[in-house]
Amino acid sequence: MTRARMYLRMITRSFIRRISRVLIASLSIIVGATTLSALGIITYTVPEQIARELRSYGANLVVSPAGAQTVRTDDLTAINAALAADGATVVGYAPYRQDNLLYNQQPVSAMATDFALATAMRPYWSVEGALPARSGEVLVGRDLAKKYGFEAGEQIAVRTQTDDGTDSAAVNLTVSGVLRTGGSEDAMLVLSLDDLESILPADGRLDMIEYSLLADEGELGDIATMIDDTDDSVHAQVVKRITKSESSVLLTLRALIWIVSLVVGALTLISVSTTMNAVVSERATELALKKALGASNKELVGEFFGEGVILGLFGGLVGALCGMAVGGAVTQEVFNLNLQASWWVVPLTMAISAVVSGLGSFVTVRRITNIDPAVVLGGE
Amino acid sequence: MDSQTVYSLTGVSRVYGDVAALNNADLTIHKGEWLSIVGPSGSGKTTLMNILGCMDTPTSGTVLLDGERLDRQGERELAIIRRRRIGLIFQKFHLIKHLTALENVMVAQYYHSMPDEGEAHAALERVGMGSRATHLPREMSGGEQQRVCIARALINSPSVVLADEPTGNLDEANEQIVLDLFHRLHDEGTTLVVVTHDAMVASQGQRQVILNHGRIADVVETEDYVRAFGTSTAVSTGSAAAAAADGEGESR
Repeated sequence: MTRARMYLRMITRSFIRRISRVLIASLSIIVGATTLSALGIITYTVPEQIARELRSYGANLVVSPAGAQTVRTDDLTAINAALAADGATVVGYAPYRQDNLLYNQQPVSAMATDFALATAMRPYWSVEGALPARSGEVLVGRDLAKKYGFEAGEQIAVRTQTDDGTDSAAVNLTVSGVLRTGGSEDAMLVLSLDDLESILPADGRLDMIEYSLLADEGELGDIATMIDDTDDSVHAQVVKRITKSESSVLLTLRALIWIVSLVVGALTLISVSTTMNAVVSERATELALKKALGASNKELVGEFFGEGVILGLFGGLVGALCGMAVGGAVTQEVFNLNLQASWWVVPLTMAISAVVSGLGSFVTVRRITNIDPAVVLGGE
Repeated sequence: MDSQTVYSLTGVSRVYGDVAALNNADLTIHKGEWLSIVGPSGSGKTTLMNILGCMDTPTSGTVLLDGERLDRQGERELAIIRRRRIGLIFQKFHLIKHLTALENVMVAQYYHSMPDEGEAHAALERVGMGSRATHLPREMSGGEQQRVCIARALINSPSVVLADEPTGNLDEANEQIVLDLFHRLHDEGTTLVVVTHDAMVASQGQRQVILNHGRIADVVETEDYVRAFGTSTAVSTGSAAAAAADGEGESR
């Protein structure tokens, strides 16, 4: 039998036959590992989930025509392809076109979009009635509805002015609902791009494309540059107000969790050191006997360090599993988010616990060195 | 120092503060000898035992083990000498509680060189404990535990086996078993040094060294000893030494 096998045999026997002691000794490691892994999960899962949530509250990148150029639906397709090729995480996007229509010879601002995409980007839109579900249905802004007395289900006839200054033929639209946003949309007629192109020349023109991308400020800047380089007719701009706020919130959250993690790590180290010292006292006779049998201080410290590391791995494994459960509960109950399974937490927590436990074992060096077998074994 | 000498102590003293636990002791221990060390509490038995066992170093004087000076060695060197040349047996057995009898013997091999399960089992067989190899200390009687300790002390074929009150925690029956074992080991050529306060146990040795106030007060040699090793200069009658040992209660 090799010395390494005998060493492992001694340690496994020590762990198996002293399981209650081992559990007590590893309790501080388990508690620390549980806290650290839970915080680790929260650190990486919650901000990512929150970032996704924040992304649904507005665009952080806006693409508009470059100078006197025109943005068309072909550009939208090209930009989406470029983003996909770049590996950007697109949470949502929506194309918009704005124009003026005539209602009762009065100019009315109209905004055309894809309702499915726009409502995903603007979940704050409140509609009394229903969203347009078929061709010929429109939303009217609250202020506009108030001005003209529009109600859901009502037919309105709109037209436009042709190039020669005459009015086009009237197109009848059905009001499916009244839109309330608190923004400029409240004074607009909102309809689908297809419906607008049935009134105006169908040239595929767009005025703006909003993007919601999962990226930080720096990455957004790079994406904007990439879009500008991809398509000369467009200009991409980062919505800095939103981006900076998001970055600030996420940075604060991450910093807070890191500080707590460091404090917990330090407390765990102290606790492990104390526990290891107690273990040395408890096993003083065994250590003294080993010295009497010829073990050197270096060998005994090495053995204790090894036991500490194994104890750390064991505590880390249990703690990581507990931490995943706790982290999952916290993200669900406190942040109302679903935990994304992150199995990397297990080996990482085990490694950190082994390091902390190993370091904690080193405080016992002095105590082990000071054990005098003549005194301990003689019982004096 | 000839090849038949295991230990040679010359003018050995050990002082703790103002107290001389051992005072100017001269002693030679021969290869294959069974030496008993007796004396009252505080006489210096344990101090002498610790010096012989390389667990302490003298304040002055020289100690030779197999011709090598111990009094000039550091802690690390003494540990190496312990693992290679000395087998220790304790009054309280000191078996590692979570290891089986076999594994306790193998621990001594582990620190000496390479653990060998077969050799460890043979050592247990030698002391009549082969059938208890897989038992934990708590599953064995005191006598059985002490026999495992003896197997552990013998496993590395040491130059000398030092036993500190080896029967102190045993009943009469187990005491006899251990003494019979010592006799067998001695007959096989093992050098034995036994510290005891028990006159009967002390009388089993070929020679008794009687300590008092840190000094070697008397040496009692049996005919067997004289036949084997010749006589020393300090010899007392067997009955006087036995009386001296008998009159003391404690070993330390």
